[in-house]
Amino acid sequence: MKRHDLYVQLISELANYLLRDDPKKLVISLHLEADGFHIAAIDDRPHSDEEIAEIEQGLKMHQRPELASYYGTMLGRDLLGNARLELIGYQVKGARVDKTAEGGIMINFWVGSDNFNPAIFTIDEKS
Amino acid sequence: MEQGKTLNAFVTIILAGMLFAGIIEGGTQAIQGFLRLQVTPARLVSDFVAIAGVESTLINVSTVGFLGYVFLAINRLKLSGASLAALFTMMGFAFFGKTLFNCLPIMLGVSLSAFLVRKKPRDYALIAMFGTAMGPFITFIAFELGVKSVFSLPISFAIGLGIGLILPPMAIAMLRLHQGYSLYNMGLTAGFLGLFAASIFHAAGADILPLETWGTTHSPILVALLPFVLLVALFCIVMEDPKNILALFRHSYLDFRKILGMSGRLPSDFSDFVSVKGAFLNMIVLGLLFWIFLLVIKAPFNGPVLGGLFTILGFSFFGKHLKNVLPIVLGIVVAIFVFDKDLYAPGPLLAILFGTSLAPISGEFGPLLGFVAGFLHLVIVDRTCAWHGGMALYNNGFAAGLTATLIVSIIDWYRSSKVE
Repeated sequence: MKRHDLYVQLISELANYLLRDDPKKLVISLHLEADGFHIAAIDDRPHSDEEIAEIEQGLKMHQRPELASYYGTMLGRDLLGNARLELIGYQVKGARVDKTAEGGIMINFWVGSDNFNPAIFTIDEKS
Repeated sequence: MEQGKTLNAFVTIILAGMLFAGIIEGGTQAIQGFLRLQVTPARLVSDFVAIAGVESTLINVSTVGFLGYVFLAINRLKLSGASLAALFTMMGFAFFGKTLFNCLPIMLGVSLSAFLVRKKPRDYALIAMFGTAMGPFITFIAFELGVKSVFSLPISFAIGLGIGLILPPMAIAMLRLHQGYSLYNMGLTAGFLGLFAASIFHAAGADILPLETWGTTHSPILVALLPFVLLVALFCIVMEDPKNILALFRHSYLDFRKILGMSGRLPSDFSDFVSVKGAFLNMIVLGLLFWIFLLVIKAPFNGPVLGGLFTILGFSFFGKHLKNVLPIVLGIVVAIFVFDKDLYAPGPLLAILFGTSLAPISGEFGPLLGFVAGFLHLVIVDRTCAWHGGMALYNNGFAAGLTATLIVSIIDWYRSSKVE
């Protein structure tokens, strides 16, 4: 799969999830690295702790190559029904969900090859 | 006990149990029967119990199961809901169609396909395991065409590799048709492929006569097989914390309730999303209900029926639960009576078991649409087997895929086109 396709599919599934409750603001950013990339999304809708735990559970599904290469191909395409964060979770190396000062949440996740280490990602977390 | 170890223990006990039961009960005769099954036509419906006896079939089921288990181990994949569903589907269909002989070339072909696109065979492991649905096609070429073995065996192996090579792109394309609302996606894939395969042979003048070996003899071992599996599942729940059984069952019940709230749409791995013990309880409830239902209606516990039960057990970890399965079954049963079908004939009886592939439709869109899906499934499944000449074992998966595609396309159009 071309990298470009994966960006589109990941962003599409993530947007499908965050837009279902009509936030007034949604920002999605993509940062490319040599051996991977980082996607961040910020919305302004309040999320309960339970909901955040669910998001984390979906995104922190450990990497499952057998599911990612087969069922994962539905990622960002087949959008009838609820969004499925686990399809993103099968692909990512790391994920984090934080509440923002505005009352919404910020979702971060990293995708990369086996050599990619999200811990040494070059963008400063404070920026 | 750790979750991975629990699942490994569960599968090992069942596979070893069936192997020992087959060998100890049947002895050398059972092994001879098992070898005979490898060269027997396996198209739908070929009940291996009626062809070679209970013990030989148990050995076949166990060896096919071990093949899947070793395949997962070679690919360094841990047992999960998805792989358990694939393993139980392989075992279930080894009661009526899958053998070591006809599974191997397809699994190798799919692995080669992974290399072609610079992936690892583990990436397509589930496609390889579910893809063994095309096994009867290999057996058909090897033993039904009347060509000398010296030619037919290598040709059938090569064609098996070829089928394996094209399965991944087809399976992925078919998945998009129904968007994950039919659990047996490989059924739609294999049926589609089987349609072309049967048509080519038909065009070349080869007769593909329908097979129907359907056993009706009562075998206590086969009736007791499902309770044995469910007892092992119960044992596995207990082994998670044997010192605190009451709390363990309370937690299992709460997890089971969580599972009932899920749609079951592909890929819903209950052991990942909820817990292994909750998924085991789901397996026990679902398996027991279908087993009691079959006992009540006095259905034969033959190869295909056991295949249906095993497939339900496997998918009780990967999409099926009581709440999303019941409307489908109800729709199928009502259609059986409306169209005056024989409940005990292979078609309707197997539709009740395998039609549960449509469970995600009722899980996501409600019981009414689930009922409609079940009703439509029974109507179409009657015809689909003739289309592929029984070459694709998951005929109900084929029909369910078509039904799901029809329903999903209408809902998709309505929701996306309706002006707000």
